[in-house]
Amino acid sequence: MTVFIIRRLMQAALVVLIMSFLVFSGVFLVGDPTEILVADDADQAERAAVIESLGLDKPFHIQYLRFLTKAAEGDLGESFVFNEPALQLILDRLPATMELAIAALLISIVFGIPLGVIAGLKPDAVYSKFIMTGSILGFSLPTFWVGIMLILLFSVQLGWLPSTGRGDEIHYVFGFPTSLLTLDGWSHVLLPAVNLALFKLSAVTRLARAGTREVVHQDYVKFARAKGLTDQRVIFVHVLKNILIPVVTVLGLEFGGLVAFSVVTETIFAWPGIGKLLIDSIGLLDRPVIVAYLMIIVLLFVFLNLMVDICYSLLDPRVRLQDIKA
Amino acid sequence: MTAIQEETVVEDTAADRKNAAVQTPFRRILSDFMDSPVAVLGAFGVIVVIFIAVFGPWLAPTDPYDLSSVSFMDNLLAPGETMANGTVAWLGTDGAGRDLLSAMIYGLRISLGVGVGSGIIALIIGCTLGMIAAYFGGRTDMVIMRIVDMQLSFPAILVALILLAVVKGGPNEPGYFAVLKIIAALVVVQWAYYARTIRGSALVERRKEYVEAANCLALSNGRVVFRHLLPNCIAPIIVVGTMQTAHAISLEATLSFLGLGLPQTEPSLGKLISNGFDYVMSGKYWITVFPGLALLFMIVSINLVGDRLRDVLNPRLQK
Repeated sequence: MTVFIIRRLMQAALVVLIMSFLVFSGVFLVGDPTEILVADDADQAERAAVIESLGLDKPFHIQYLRFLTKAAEGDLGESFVFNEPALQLILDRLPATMELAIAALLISIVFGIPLGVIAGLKPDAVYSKFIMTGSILGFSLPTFWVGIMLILLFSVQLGWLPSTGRGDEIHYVFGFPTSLLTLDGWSHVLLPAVNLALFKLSAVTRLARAGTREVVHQDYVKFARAKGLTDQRVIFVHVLKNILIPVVTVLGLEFGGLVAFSVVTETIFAWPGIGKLLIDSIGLLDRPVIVAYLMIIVLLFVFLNLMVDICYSLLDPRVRLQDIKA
Repeated sequence: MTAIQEETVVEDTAADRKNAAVQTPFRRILSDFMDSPVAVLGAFGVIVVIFIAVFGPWLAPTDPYDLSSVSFMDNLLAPGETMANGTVAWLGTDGAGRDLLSAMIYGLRISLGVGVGSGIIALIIGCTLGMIAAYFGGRTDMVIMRIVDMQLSFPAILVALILLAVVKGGPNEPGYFAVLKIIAALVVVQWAYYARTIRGSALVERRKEYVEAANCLALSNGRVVFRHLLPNCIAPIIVVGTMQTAHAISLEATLSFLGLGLPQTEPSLGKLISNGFDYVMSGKYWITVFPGLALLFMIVSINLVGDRLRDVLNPRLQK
C-alpha cells in the first residue's frame, strides 16, 4: 500500500510539473497585457517601466523558471487588475465554489443512487424507462440554458428564489466562510446547486443502474438470495456495496468536473466563486490570475485522482494486488 | 465485438447457401433499433434537424443576415406579432429586430455544422492515433495513451476554456477565424475519446486469427489496419461518435454563451440564447426559451439514437 501511494505521488508530481509548463507557455502566448495595463497616453519610458516591473521583458525560459521558484514558495504572482496576490484572490473565492460544488454533489448522490438502483432492479418497468429517459434529458440539457430557465421560472415568474449572489449572511465555521447555516443562504444556493447537479445526477443514475444490472446476475447475489436473505439485505449489502466502486470513482472525478463546470453556473447566477473570476480574468487578460486558477485546478484534480485511486484500492482489493505486482 | 464478428461469419456462410434466410447484421441492428419507440422518435428528430439544417435558407421566412430587411423598429416583438414588412414573427423577434424563427434556423445550421464537422475531424485523428497505438504497441502505445489519459482526467469544458482563452483574438478578428478556432478546440477536446475507444477494441481484435492470416499473407501494415482491423472496430466508434457529436454541440453552445465561442456575426443557437439572457429579467422569455428548445430537441434526438445504438451494438447485452 505504501509503495502504491508513493508511486502515485511521484506520478502526480510529474503531472503537475508538465501541466505547469503547458499552462504557463499557453498563457504566455495570450495577447499583450501591457495594452490594458498601461494608460493610452503613457510615453515609451513609462511603458518600459511597467513592462520591467512585471518582468515581461525577460525571455520565456527565465520567466518560467522564476514562475516555478515563486510557485514553490506559494507565490503565483500578483493580479494585474486587482493588485493583489493572485493566489489570495483565488483562495478568497474558493470556499464559495466549494460550497456550490458540495451542495451539487450531495444532490446528485442523494437522488442519483436510489433512482439508478430502482431502475436497475426492474429494467423493464415503466418507471424505470421513465427514469432512464429522464436521465437522457438531464444529460442533454445544456447547463447554461437550464440555469436561465430556472431563473426565468423561480425568480422572474414566481419570485420564490433569488437569482444572484450567495446572500449576505455569511458565517464562519472553523475559519471557512459559508452561507449554508441560514435559510437565506440555502435559498441562494438552491438554484445554482440544482443547476450544477443536473448533469452529474444523470451520470450517477445511469452508472448505478448499469452497475445494478450487472451485479444482480452475479453468483454471490444469487447465492445471497438462495440463502433466503431479505430483499432489503441483498440490495443494501450485496448489491449496493459492489456498485459503489464505479460510483465512487466517477464521483471523485466528477467533483473536479463540478468545480470546472461551476464556471458556467457561476456566470449565470453571479455566484462569487473562482469560475466567475476566471471568466472575468480571461476577458481582462489578467495573466497571473488565469495561471493561478489553472494551477489550483490542476492540483485539485491530481489530488482527487490520487484520492480516488486510494479509495478504489480500499474498496476493491483486486486493484491493489495488481498494482503491487506491477 | 465478438457477436458482430460471429454475425459476419454467419452471414458469409449463409451467402454460399443461397436459400438460407439469415438476417444480415445491418438488418438485425435495424430491427433491434426499431424495437424501442423512443429511439425511433429520436431518429425521426435527427432526420428533421438534418432536413432543417440542409434546407434552412429555403425554409426560413426571412434572411436574418440581410441587413436591408432587418428593421430596428421590429426589436423585441412578442411571438405572433407582425413585423413592419408584414411577415408574422411566430416566435417573436430578438433585440436587433431579427425574426427569431429565421435566426434559429440559421443558428441550428451553424451549431450542427460545427458539431458534426469537429466530430468528423476528431474521429479521423483519434482513430488514426488509437489504431497506431494498438497496432504497434510498446513505446508508441505508451506515449499516445499517456497523453490521452492526461487529457481525459480534465473535463472537456476546462480544456476548451483554456485553449480558447489562450488564442483569444481581438474584436477585429474575422468571423471565419473564430469558427475555425472553436472547431479546433472541439477537436482537441474530443479526439482522446475516439483514440481510447478504438484502441480498446483494436487490442481485442488484433489477437484474432484473421489478423494473423492477413499478416501471414504479407499484406502491408496499412492494408491490415484499414481493411481488416478497422471494419471490425467500427461499432463502438459509431456509439461514441453519436454521443460526442451531441456533446460537442452542447459544448459549443456553452462556450458561445460564455463569450468564448462563435462571434456575433455567426450566431449559433448558444449565441442566440446568450443574447436573450440580457432580456430575461424583463420577462422577455422567448429570445432564450425558443433557441434553447431547438438546441435541446437536437441534442436529445441525437442522444436517444446514441443510447439505443449502444444497447443494440453491445454484444454483452444480447440475449
